Amino acid sequence: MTSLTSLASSRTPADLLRTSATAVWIFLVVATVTSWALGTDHAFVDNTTAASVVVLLLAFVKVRFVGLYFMELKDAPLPLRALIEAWCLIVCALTVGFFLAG
Amino acid sequence: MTSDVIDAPASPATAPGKKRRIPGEEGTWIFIFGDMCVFAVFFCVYLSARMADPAGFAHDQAELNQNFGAINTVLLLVSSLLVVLATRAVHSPALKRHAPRLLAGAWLCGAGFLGIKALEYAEKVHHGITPQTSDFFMYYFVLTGLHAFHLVLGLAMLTVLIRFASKPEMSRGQFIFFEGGACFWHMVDLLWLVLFPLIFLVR
Repeated sequence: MTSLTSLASSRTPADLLRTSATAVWIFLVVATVTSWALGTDHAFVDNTTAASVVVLLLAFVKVRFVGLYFMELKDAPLPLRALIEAWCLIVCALTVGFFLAG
Repeated sequence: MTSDVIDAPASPATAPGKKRRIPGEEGTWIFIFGDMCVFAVFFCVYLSARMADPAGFAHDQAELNQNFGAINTVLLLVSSLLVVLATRAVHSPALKRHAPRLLAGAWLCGAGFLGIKALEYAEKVHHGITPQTSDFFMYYFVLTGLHAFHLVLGLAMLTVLIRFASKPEMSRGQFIFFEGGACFWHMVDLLWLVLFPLIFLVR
């Protein structure tokens, strides 16, 4: 894994992929396919409420990863990083709460 | 005019350890988090409307094509990765020339998203479904339409980033704008990562 600090010595296009963002991207695609299976009739889960809660939780884990690794908030000053963490936590709690109350 | 032209912002190659820094301008983050909070309110308003008529929402949601939504999610994820790679490329003198092509790929993915969205809307209208059909479809068209509007803004932003990345050298201001523009594009992706499950998948 390399960060922006070692990019100055990068030579080949493959060097661009040597970042934690690539691993995060693979997770995001796998999580998307999993959510799609859970949200349609392709999953081996009979309880649609439980499946929906998992789909919502996965969505906010994905959002957090996009914020931290794609937007680079992982290395941002703590108040800015705290904003994305707080947004994920609060909005996740609200949406899951509203969903379960429905 | 070489004094304000640099290879990378904040000279990351010489930064000691993990120096914390704000990607883009501070004002960009006020806009991004403001937008994210507005959408957070929309998510809650949608779910509270669903609470009032769960059976009606479930019936109408069954009319949606989840495959379109899933393909669009993957398109936006690919575009986001390409923007990440382009942002890394502009920091490397040897790889900078790849940045415009990576951004053009991201732009095409975004355009593909809009194409599929247009197909989806056309399919609905063909079946006589409009925002007036029901509360669910009103929210469906308004929320996905508002997101599509952000995506169009994002495509315009990517066009500017392609122009910047095509320059032989970028100024510090252009680097900062580049990072902010890239973060705006990631926000468009991020909002869809919640909208897709909320409208298409959650039952």
